[in-house]
Amino acid sequence: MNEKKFTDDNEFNELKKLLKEIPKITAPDNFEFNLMTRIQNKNFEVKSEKKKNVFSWALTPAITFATAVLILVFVFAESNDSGENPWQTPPQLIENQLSELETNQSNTTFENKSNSLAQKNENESSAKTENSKNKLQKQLPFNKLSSFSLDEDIKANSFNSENNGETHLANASNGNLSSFDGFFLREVEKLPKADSLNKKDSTSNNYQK
Amino acid sequence: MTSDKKLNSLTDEELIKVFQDENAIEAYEILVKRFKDPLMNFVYRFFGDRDIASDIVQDTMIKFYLNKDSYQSIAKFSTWIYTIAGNLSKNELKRRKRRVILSISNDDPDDITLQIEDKKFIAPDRAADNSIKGDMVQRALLKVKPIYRELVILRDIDGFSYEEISEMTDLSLGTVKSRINRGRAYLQKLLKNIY
Repeated sequence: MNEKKFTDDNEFNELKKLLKEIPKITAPDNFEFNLMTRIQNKNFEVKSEKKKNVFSWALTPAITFATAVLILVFVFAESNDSGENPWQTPPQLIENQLSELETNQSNTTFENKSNSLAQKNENESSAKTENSKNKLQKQLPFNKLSSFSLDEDIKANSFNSENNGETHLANASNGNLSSFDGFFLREVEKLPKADSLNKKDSTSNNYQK
Repeated sequence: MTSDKKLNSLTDEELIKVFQDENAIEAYEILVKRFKDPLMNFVYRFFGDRDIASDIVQDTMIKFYLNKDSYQSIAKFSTWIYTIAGNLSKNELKRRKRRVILSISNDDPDDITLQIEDKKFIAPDRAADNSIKGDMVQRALLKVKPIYRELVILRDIDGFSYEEISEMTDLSLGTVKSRINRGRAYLQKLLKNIY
């Protein structure tokens, strides 16, 4: 142990010698005068202590960070808090019974209301579909909704003398519709030509002559 | 005059006793005369700034004047007054660091001196000059962490024993020794160009 201490002390001999050799610093000449003046004037303010700012602690980064973390922890802890205060909540047995009663009452009234509402909706929807069917039959010349035999239809109408050569549209539902007269060629109207072109045509005709 | 002679022959502990008991300002002045230079040297080596060192030593003497009754005769007077000076120095260092953090500017006096130091370190032939040597040692000291720096100064520059340093800094003897050794090792690495 002593040996180790000895080697440790010897290890830095040169350094210690160097540190001893460095020039000593002395206090300024007016040091004592200034000190005694301060004492006489009772100016006992210690410079290294007086400059402490009241709010400096709040500005140090470490404390600011810690405060921010604490605030976050409190905010999240409060939002996730599912605990209950036993002094503020009523006894659970009575609460359960009350809630059961309430649910029974509300269930019966709710069932009645829902049944009547469903019935009403059903009636309304069936009436709507019927109306739309009728409308569709009026609009279309043929009944799209029902199937029919094309052969029978042709046989039945081919010997009908009252038609006077006119045919009718297959599966046409009502007699209200006008009978089908067949297809016709549409005559396309002659488009008006520009005067210059007309002139050209006439001159070319003259040349031919 | 005769009383002054008498007082001058007294030890530090006897002088503080006189100051405590009789409130004799002469005893206080003699103690100030005895300790102003060693304290100035200690604080200057810690900070590397004469003005700051002078202010801190003044504050130390003011604290001594105001709190003379808190000194107990079981301890050495030098230990007690160095403790005051050391605490004030550490407070000042903390305050300066805090100011640097808050101002966000990198105008730490330590950093400035270190930048200059690196440029000067490359001239070993000039190291023979005593004042330059002293300057180099001072700059190297400022590079050492304050917790090691303070102890190395107290031990190797001011010549206090490990026990006295332990008492001053309120650290265990083992901690004091290990910190001094770490500080010395770091300092030796920095000053290897000189010797």
